[in-house]
Amino acid sequence: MPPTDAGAGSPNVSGARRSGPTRATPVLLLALAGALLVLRVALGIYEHVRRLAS
Amino acid sequence: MNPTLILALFQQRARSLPRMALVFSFFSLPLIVLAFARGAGLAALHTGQAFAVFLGAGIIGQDISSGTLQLLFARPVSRGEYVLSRWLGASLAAACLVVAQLAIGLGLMALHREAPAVRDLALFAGGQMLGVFGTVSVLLLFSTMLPGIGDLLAIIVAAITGQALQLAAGLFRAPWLARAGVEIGRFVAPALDLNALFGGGQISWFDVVSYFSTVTLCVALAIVILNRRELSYATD
Repeated sequence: MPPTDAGAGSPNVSGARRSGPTRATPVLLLALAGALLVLRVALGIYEHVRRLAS
Repeated sequence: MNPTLILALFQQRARSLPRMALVFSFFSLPLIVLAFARGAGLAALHTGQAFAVFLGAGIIGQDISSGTLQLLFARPVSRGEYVLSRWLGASLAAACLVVAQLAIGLGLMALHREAPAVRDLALFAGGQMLGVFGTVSVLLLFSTMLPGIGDLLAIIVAAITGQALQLAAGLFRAPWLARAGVEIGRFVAPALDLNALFGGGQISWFDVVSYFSTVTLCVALAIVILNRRELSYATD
């Protein structure tokens, strides 16, 4: 049986699970930020076109 | 939101002598101007974003560099909670300074019988608060990616890039380049001039949406980036 070193983690953490209760994705905040970004771009284009037209 | 984390941020900032020296100078100098110069008005108290930068620089990067985060995340603290607490803590500290400075400034203006109208004062204070929360949110985003006070450096570089693009637009007669420069500047220094917004005339909804878009985007991305970040015990 290979010896184990209690408390020693694997040095290679690439591919490790990056989720869990302490890494919850802020879904609502991201959705709000996305919606505001889309609205920002749309309003920017609208105001630019309106300025060109006037 | 975690009150302990917010309190820890206040203590951390209060222990930093260079920060406190800068905050003190930006707090007292405009008040000295108001005490001796007549007609300076509220314009002398445009210090909200400066307080935000002094208290917010290195808001997360310094904790990563010092190894504090590695120890903190060994406890049952979620990364989102940490990011929001840091954002709120730095913003509240800067907002308190703005309010205190405004209160003293108002007293000094009243001594000269130059006290502004309540409406003007409220709009000015609101604009300063929005500037504080906006600036700290941008620092927050850059701070999750850069060590130490690299966030401050990133904002300076981005602001200079924005200005350079606007200059280049004039040289090359490229309006799109000017717009890109303006948008970069708008992103790194989010603010809303409430006086212009509510002072009559047409409200620019683009300005309003741009401000809130920047703030929500920065806070959300800061949480996502920190969630994905693997913290090394070696010096970062």
